[in-house]
Amino acid sequence: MSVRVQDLTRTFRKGKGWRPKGDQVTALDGLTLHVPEHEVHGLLGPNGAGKTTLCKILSTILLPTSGTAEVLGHDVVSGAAEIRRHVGIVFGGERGLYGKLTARQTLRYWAALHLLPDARAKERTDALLTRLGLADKADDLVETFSRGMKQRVHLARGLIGDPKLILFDEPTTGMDPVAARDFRELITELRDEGRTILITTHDMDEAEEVCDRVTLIDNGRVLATETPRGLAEMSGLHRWVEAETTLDVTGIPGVVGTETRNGLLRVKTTDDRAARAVLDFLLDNGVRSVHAVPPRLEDVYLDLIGRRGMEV
Amino acid sequence: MRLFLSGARTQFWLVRRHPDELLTLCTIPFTVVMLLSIVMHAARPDLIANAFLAPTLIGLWGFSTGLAAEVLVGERWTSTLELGMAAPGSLHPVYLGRISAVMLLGVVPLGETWLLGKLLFGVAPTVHHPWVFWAAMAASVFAMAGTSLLLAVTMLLSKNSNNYLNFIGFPIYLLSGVMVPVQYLPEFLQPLSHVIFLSWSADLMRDSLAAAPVAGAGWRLLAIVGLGVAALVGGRVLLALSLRRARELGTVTYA
Repeated sequence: MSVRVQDLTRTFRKGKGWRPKGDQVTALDGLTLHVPEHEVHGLLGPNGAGKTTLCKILSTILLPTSGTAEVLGHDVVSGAAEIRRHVGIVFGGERGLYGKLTARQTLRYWAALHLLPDARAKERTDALLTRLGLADKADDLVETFSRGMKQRVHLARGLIGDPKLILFDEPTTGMDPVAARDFRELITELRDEGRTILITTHDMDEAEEVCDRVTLIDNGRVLATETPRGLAEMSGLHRWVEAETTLDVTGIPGVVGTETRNGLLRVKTTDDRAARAVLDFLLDNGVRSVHAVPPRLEDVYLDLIGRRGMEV
Repeated sequence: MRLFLSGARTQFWLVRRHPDELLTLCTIPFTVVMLLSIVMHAARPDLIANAFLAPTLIGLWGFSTGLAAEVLVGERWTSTLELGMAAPGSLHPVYLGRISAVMLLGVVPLGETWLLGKLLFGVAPTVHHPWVFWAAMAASVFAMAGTSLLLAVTMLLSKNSNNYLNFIGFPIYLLSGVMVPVQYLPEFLQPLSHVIFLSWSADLMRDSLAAAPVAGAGWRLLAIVGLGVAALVGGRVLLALSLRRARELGTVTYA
């Protein structure tokens, strides 16, 4: 097991001073999570759900308030030094980078902090710069890079210590679609190399595409852990039927609602039987472009987390 | 040692691309002109050494508070501090390496002061005891690196610590005897100067410029180094406590 978290709680105190005595805020509330080796595991949840706090505890940046967390068999408190040798963290966005260093200098600095001997540091730096397509820009300042290139520097930095577990904290934030696609391919490669990957994201398509399993977190608690498809199927959510038609299907039993987008009719039904009835009706009326759609991860997310809009 | 050197190398890379961080060097000429003008106008050649040492040591202190002490706060702003906390290497030697690199730059005001004195006023003090002078300078740079680590960690503890840092500059100049020899200060202030390594540095360097033999150079050097070690150990302990506290309270970043 790469990650074993049991009844993990993390609280924070508001206020100032060496020991703040203000209101207590609970970020993780008895969270339990198991991630086996070689799995790509997604952590999904709204802002403030506790995803980043969990990542910080697993990477030994934060201490837990209660409960236990083990990474690669080591406790995050008593075995922190051992964990740090085998865990890489990758942030999204601008944080965590030195704009005034080149990509090569950035990696050399972090290689030293990962205790790589000089020769190994040079070798690993060159290999990662090449692997991530940064070799031509290796001696350019990071501040001159595009968002996608900065993200690749983040990735290279996270991989410098050859980690067994990689924690990605919203890694595709601000990436263009091409860079995001490349990133997803890299995740698959890393998993195939035998690494375990824990990734926090708001991008449901990304989670659906790259994650073996996902965990939905809200208010510091686990709502569900399953494969993306399994989560959708066990959710009992509405089935959708999509068809290129203008026919009226609202009278069919089990139809909850309809919407039309770009000439595509989407019919929301209560269950598989109602979806079948809609399909039969449309086919009987000569509609040929028609198919049933299982609920997507995004639908499950919205159903379980709630449609909060901007609320956090 | 590798972590220390890596930190120093990284700091040189960073400073090279942040020329604005060397602004301290631009303030030196003003101090040099002001002090040497007074000394020359008053026809007090015996005070030339004082006028040369003040900008040199003020420059060293300026690099400490203006650049070295900001290293950890900068790390916190860029979130590289938390990444460092998750790395297997110890942070203390890395940051000490970065701070020491800055303090090596703190020697530049010495050359700048000498050059300006020669160019603008046609004077430069004779160094009668060069070994003592350079040993005192080296010990001062070491002690300043230790003090800077302590200051840098202190800066982590409060968002407003910059204000305090700006404030203590002038009291330090006064109590360390950088501007005015300590023996001319009110008597009740003089004991305070003994715990400030710069006061030992200023006195020893001043004596090394004079023709008279330097009394107790070894002990005085030891005092500078000892105070530097005390600051270094204090900084090391405070850094460990601060990082532990940040892990407990979740105050690693400003976010």
